[in-house]
Amino acid sequence: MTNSRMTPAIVLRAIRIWSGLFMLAFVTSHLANLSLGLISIEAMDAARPYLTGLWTRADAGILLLASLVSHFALGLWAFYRRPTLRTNTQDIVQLMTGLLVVPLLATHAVGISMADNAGLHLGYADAIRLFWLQAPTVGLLQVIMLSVVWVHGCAGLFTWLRSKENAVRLLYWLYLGAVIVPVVALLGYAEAGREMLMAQQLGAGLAQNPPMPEGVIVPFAQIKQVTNAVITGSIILVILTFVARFVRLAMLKTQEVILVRNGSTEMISNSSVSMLEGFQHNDQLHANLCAGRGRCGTCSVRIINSEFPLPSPSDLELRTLYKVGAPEGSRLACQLKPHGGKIEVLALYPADYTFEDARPSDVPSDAEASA
Amino acid sequence: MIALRHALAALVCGLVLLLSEPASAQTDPSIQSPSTNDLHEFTRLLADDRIQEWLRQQAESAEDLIEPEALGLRDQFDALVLQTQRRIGTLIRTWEGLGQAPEMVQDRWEAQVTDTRRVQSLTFVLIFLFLGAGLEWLFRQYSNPVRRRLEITQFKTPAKRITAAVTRAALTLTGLLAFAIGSIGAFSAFDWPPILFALILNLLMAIVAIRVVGAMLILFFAPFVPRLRLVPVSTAMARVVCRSVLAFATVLIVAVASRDVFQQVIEVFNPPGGQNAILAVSVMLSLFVAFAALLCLHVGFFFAGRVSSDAATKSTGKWRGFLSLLIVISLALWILDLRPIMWSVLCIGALLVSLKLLRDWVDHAFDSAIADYMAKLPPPQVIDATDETTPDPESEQTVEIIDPYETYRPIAQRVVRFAAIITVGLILALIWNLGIFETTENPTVMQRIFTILLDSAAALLIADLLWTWARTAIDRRLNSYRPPTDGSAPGPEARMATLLPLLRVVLMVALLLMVAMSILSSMGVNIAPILAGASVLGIAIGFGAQSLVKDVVSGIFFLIDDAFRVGEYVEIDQLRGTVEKISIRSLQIRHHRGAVHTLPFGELKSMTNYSRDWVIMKLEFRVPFDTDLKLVKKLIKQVGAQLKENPDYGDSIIETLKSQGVRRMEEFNMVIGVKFMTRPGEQWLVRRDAYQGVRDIFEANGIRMAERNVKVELAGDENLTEEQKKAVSAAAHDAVTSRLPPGPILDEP
Repeated sequence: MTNSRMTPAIVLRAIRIWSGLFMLAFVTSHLANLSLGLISIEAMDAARPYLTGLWTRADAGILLLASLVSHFALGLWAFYRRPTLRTNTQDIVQLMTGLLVVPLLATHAVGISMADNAGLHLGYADAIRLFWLQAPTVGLLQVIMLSVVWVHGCAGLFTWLRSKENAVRLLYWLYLGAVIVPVVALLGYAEAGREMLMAQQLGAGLAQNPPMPEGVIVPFAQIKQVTNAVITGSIILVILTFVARFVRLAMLKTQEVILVRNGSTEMISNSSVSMLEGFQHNDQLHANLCAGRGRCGTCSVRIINSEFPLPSPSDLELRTLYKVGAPEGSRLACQLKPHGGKIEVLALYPADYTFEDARPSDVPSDAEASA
Repeated sequence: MIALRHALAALVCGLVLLLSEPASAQTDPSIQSPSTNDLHEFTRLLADDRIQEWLRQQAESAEDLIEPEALGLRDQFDALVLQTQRRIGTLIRTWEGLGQAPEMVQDRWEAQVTDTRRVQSLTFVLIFLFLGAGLEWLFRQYSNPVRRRLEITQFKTPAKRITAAVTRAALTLTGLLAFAIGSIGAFSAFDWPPILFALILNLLMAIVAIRVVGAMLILFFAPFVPRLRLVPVSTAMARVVCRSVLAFATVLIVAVASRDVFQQVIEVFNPPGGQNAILAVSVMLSLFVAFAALLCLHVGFFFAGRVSSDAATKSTGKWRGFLSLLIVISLALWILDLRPIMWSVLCIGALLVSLKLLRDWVDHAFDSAIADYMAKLPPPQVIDATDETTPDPESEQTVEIIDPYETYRPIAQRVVRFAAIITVGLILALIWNLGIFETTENPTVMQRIFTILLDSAAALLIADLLWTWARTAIDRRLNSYRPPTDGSAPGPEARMATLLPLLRVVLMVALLLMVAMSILSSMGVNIAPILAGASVLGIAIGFGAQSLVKDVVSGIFFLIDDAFRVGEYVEIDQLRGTVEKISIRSLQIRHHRGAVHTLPFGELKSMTNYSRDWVIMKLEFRVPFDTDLKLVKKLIKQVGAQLKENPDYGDSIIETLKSQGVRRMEEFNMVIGVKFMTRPGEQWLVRRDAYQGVRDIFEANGIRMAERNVKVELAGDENLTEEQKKAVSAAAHDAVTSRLPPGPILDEP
C-alpha cells in the first residue's frame, strides 16, 4: 500500500505536530520556572538560565520562532479548509485559542526578546514588578495568554495522542500533568505577585526599578511599533482567513446527502461536510478518537450502498485504513465527503469506542447496530 | 416578615409607653426622694439572686401576656397597611433622589477600589477560575468513558433510564463541585479586603449557581441526548426550554449577586442616603429581572409554539398570560416590600403550573411503561388474535389492554399532587413564619387558620388517595369479572361481584366520616362527644334493627365462606332452586318450576349446594338371571365411550359410564348398577342419553330388560276357558303390580 509515501498532506501534518510539540515543551519548561514563584522571586531568577534560558538562546530562539510561524500558518490553512465549525467543543476551543495566541503573545515575546537584544536582560523580578505594579493590565493579559496557550497546546497534544493506540495509559498521567503544571505556575505567579505587592507596601527594594545599566538604550518606541505591527498583522491574517473561508464556502455548490447508519433513520447532511460531521450535525455520536483528523481510524465505516460513486480516498485515508486493518469497502467517515445522494453505511466501531476495548469484529454486534 | 415583626415590636413598645406614662405622672407629686438607707437596701435587694430570678420570670411572663394581644389579625393587617404606606413614601423619596445614586456609588467604588487593585483582583479571579476549571476538566477526562457509555446505551426500562440520567447529572455535579472547590477554595485561602471579598465571592458563586441550574436542566431535559430525557418533550422543545430557563436564571443570579455586592459596598461606608441608594438599585435590578423574565417567557413560548407540532395554542396562550401576570404581580409586591405575600403568590402560581406539568409527566411515564409492557408481551397472543379474527376480536382487545400499571396511574397522580401541595403548604408556612412545627400555648389566628387548613388538606388528600386506590382496585376486579355464560357454572369470583360494591360503599362512608372527624378535631371541636353519641345511636339502631343486622352480618359470612354463588342449584330447608340474586340482606332462589323464594340470610341455618365440583349419578337396570354379565359390562363401556365423545357435554363428564356389576339379586331378576360422574348441572342430560344408549344397545344385543311376568297356576284349571285363564292371570298381575310402591319422582329441573 501507500504506507511510506510522503505526500504533502502528511508532511504538513508532521510539521504541524512537531512544531507544536516543540513549543509545548518550551512552554512547559517556562511554566515550571514560573512555579518556583511559590518559593520566592529569587528562586525563579535562579532557575531561569536552566528552565527558560536554554530555549531562548539564539539558535533555539530561531527554531522557536520558525515553529511558531509555521504552526500558525498551518493552523490558518487548516481553518481555511475546514468545512464546518459545528464540531465538538475541544475542536472549537483548539481553533479559537490557536487564533488568539499570536496577538496575545506579541507583547510578551517581542518585548522581552527585543529588550534582550538591546542588552537589557530582564529577570523575573522585573517582569513581576512590571506585571503586578506598573502595568497590571499587561499582567492580566499574561494570565489570559498563559491559559490560552496552555489550553491550545494540551488540546492539540491530546487529540494527537488519542489517535495513538499505545498512548492510552500515558494519557491518564498526562491529564494530571496538564492540570498541575499550569495551576502550579499560576499559583507561583500569584504568590510572586503577592510578594511584590507586600514589598511595595513595606517600601522594600524589590519593588523599586533597578537603575538602567550603563550604555544600554532600550528602543521602547521601536518595541511598541513592532509589537503593534505583529498584533495588527496577525489579526488581519486571521480576519483574512475568515473572509477567505467564508468566500470559499459561499462559492461551494452543495448537494444534499442522505446518510443511513446501521439501518437508522435518514440523516440529512450536505456534500460540503464529511460524513462524520454529518452524523454530528444530526446529534448522532460516532467514534472519532482523533477528532476527525484521519489518524485513528475509529470512525471507519463500511459502505453498504451508495447512490452515486464516492470520491476516491486520499493517501492519508488509505494509510490509516491500512494501519487499522479495515476490511475491503471501508472508508473513514471523517475524510469522506460524499458528492450527494443516499448512502448506507455500517459503523465498524461502537460510538463509545476507546483503545481499551478490543479491536472489533467485521460486523458490529446487535447492541451497536441498534444504537 | 422580619420587618413586620420589628414594626409590631415598635408598635407594642409605643403602646406600653403611652399606657405607662399617665400612671407615673399621677404619682409624681406625692413622691419624695428616697433616703440613702433605702437606696442601700434597694441595691442589696437587687443584687440578691432570688430577687433577680423572680424579676426575670416576671419579665418573661409579662412578655407572654403581651404578645398574643399584639398579634391579632386586625393589628397585623393595620401594620401591613402602615408598612406599605411607609414603603411607598420611601420609594417616592428614592425616586426623587435617584439621579445622585449612581454618582455616589461610583465615587465610593473608585475611592475604595483603585484601577490597579481592580486589575490585580481580576488577575486573581482568572487564576482561581483556571484552577477550578482545570480540576473539573481533569475529573471529566477521567469520567468521560462512563459518561459516553451512558449517553450511547439504549435503556430498556424507564427505571434504568432514570438511573442513567441521574448518574450523568451526578457526574456533572461532581465536576462542578471540583470547580467550586478549586476556585472558591483557592480564593478563600487568601486574605481579601471586604469589598473585594464580596465581589469575587459573589462572582464565583454566581458562576457555580448558573452552572448548577444548567446541570439540573440537562438532567431533566437532556437537550442533546433524547434517550436520557426525563421530561416528555421533543428535542427542539427541550432546547428551547433549556435556553430560556438558563437565560432567565443567569439574569436572576447575576442580579442577586450584584445587589448583594452593591449592598456590601454601601454598608462598608454607610454614607448618608446609602439605604436609599440600595433601594434604588434593588428596584432597578428587580425591574430588570422581571423584564428579563417576561422576555424569556415570551421568547420561549414563541419558539415553543414554532417547534411544537400539536396546535394547543389556546391553552399555551392561557399559560403564557398566567405566567406574565404572575411575574408582574410578583414584581409589584416585591417593590412594595410585601415579601411574604410575593413568595406566597409565586409559590401558588408555581404550584398551579407544576401540577399541570406533573400530571402530564406522570401520564407520559405510565404511557411509556405500558408501551414497554405491551412490547414485552409474548408474541403468541398476537398470532392467536390474527388467527381467530372471526370469533370476537373485541374480547381479545379488552383482555390485552389490562396491564399491571393502569391501576396505579390515578394513585401515582394523586401521590404526586399530594406531595406537591404539601410541599407548597410547608413552604408557605415557612414563608409566613407561622411556626406550625412549634406547639405554642396561644397560637395566633393566622397560625390557627393555617394549621386547620393544612390539617384538613392533608386529611382530604390522604382520604382521596386511599379512596382512589380502593376504588380503582375494586373497579378493576369488578371489570375483570365476567358473568358466567348460560349453562356454565360460575367461578369463585362471582361472590366478589356482591361483596365489592358493598365494600366500596362502606369504605367511602368510613373515609368521609374520618375526614370530617379529623377536620372537626383540627378546628378545635371536641369530637369525643360526637363519637360517643354516634356509638350510642349505633347501639340503639342495632337493637332496633336486630334482625336486619343479623341478616347483613350472616350474609357477609356466607359470602366469605363461599357457600353459594349466583346460578348455583341449592337446597335450603326443603326449598330448592337456582340462586338468582344475592343482595346484602337476602337471597333469592328460583325453583325450577318458576317460583321464587326469598330467604333472609339470618334464617339460613344450613344449606346444600348441588353445584359444586362434581356429581355422581347411579343408575340401575334390571335384567333376567340368564344375562351374560360380561357382555353387559362390555356394552356399557361402549355406551360410556359414546357419551364421552358427545360434543355437547362430553367435556363435562369426569368419569364416564361404567358398570358396577350386579348390585343385588331380586326375586325375579338381578340389578345391575351403573354410575358416572359429571360436572354439576350436566348430569341430567348425561343420564337421559345413558338410559337411551343402554336400552338401545341391550336391545341390539338381545338382552332383555327383566319384566314382571306373572305366572298363574290354578289348581284345576282344566275347566276354565282360555278367556277365563287370561282374566285370572291379568287380575293376578294387577294385584302384584298395584302393590309395588310408586316409583320415585326425582325433583329435578
